[in-house]
Amino acid sequence: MSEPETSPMDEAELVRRIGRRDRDAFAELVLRHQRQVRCFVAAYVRDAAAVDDIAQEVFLAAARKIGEFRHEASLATWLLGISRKQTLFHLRSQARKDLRRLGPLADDIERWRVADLEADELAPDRRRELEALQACLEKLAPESAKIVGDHYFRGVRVADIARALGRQENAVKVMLFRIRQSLRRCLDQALVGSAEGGLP
Amino acid sequence: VSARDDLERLWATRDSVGDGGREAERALLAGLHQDAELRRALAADDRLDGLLRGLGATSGDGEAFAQRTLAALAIEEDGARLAARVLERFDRSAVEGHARGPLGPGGGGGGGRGRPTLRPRAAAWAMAAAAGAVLALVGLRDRSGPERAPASADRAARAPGPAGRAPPANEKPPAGLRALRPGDELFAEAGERAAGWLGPGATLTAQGPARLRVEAPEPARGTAPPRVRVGQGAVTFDLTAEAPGLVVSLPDLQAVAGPGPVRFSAEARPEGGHLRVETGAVRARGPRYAADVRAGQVAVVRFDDLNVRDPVEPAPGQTPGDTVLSFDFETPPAAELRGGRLTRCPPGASGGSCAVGTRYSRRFARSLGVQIVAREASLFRYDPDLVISFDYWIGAWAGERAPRFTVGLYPAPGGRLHETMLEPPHPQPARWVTVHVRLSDVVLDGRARLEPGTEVRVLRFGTDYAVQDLVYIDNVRVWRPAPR
Repeated sequence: MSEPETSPMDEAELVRRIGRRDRDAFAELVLRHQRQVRCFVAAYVRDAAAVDDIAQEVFLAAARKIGEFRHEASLATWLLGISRKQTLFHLRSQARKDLRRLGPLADDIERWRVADLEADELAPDRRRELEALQACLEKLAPESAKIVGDHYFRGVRVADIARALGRQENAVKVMLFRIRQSLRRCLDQALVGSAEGGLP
Repeated sequence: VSARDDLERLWATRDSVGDGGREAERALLAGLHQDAELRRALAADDRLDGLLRGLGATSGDGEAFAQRTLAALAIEEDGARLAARVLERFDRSAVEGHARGPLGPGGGGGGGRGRPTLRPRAAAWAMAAAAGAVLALVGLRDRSGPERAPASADRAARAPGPAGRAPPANEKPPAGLRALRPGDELFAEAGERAAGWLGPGATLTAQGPARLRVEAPEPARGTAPPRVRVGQGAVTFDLTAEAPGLVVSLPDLQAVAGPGPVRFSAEARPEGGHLRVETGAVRARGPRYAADVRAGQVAVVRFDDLNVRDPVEPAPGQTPGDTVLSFDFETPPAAELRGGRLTRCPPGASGGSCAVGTRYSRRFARSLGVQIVAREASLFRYDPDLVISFDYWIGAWAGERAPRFTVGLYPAPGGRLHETMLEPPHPQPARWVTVHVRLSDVVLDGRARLEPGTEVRVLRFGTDYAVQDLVYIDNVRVWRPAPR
């Protein structure tokens, strides 16, 4: 599930071809980096349609600005930088629009997201985060893996999962929260060292 | 169980609707303001939740996303090319203006045709477009002198292009129509209608906002009408038997009219060309396929596939009893549409419809779906006898699950949702299916009631299993059955 590794030469050639408006090269760029960009945006934006809009705008901006890419960082890091700016722009404009519609808790959550993103210096961790998360997912106990898979990857509603398990809906939400906590711990460990052992 | 456990439980279940929702939210807020560490932990949880959603949403649809992004790039580049053309014309006009001296309405230029001028707003737009702005409407107004072509009753706009040729003396446009020649571009602004004459027995009408360009016919086609490229909006063509073979180009779609009398409309939509044939037949070519489109049929390109479908009218037996269309949306939906866009809105005084399409063929928004929101007045008034119809199209879906839809009604934005779950028929992927929902089937949730006459402000289409599915919703209508 990780994105293909590219050698610097591959990347330089890709950049040159995109600069010549080569559509195949642009498609290649999108295919290589779409998951990382979309997941980065999805971490801060919950509206799935908006996530794709922002990600699309990231790639269009990259096509427009490819001449400004200086190879000082990897293409992936450069794209994440554009993603960060586009996501911040979206969150701030949403905050202005939704000022009267959101409740105090939702307002707070939105503020966290903006603050988190503003403070995000796009450390190399960000690039490794998805890979590490997938490694952590593979360490989940079968029951937890099924719940996470159903909810996040197969789009099954919490109510339906609860029905299948014979549990209350809120109990399943708490289970998901506990699983995320364990994933968070695994992720933190993985990003500072190696993730060993199993997860609940 | 510690106080922190309680707060984490409140956090985990915060989106559950219940009578104690507000109190729980207040308790959670108070806890978060007192415990910075908890606040950081929950912010990290929120971010991880988003990452997991992102992973789920992106698994397996990378190619489709790339296709949509390529389509968006093509639209953007088309906009840039248009801007370049406008700038080029602007520059040419400026040079000619210097050579001939200032020209104004009715002035200068001797006895010849007046030259086209850019209005200040159009010039400003052109500058903005050159700076990377997206497609926008621009008008090139002919403010020529006394010998200009007779103006149409409608507010048409045109500019003779470099490839223009003078029509032979025996080719006169009907009264009220302008002759359009190769190289001409025609613009109609929102709310305007512009009509033109392409040659004997060949006329067109553009409903603004619209933009089209007339190109020279292929040399091999002899005296055939010129080719027309529709860049924006909807244009209706009327061709008599004398003028078959008109070629109309749309994004991702080309239409060749005839043989015989043909009336058809061609619309440039962000996701591709859209063709509706009223009389006669048109040969449509998509990126990979070609098909004949006959009277009453519609052709549209989706993901390189050319889809030809029958008119979207309820088939016998699909709607309760003998139904008649007595109204569509009572009020033009104001602004908000999440996950899609409205076209052909508002409906005319005698009725019509609001169609909903998703931009760039993108995946249906899983959490919100498409919402049509009227903020100032109602979309329509609830009546259990009403029927909502819509067309849907799904490119693929995960595993063996059948697609499931919800249709929801809100009395007001933010009000309580009343919705029904649908499992519509879906014989095979990539085929349009029309669904009719009787409002008598909409499940009331028992807390708030939709009484007959209640204003419905929000109409929502959602789907549960569309994590990887590509979905279009189109032709959303509200029908009132005839009294039995």
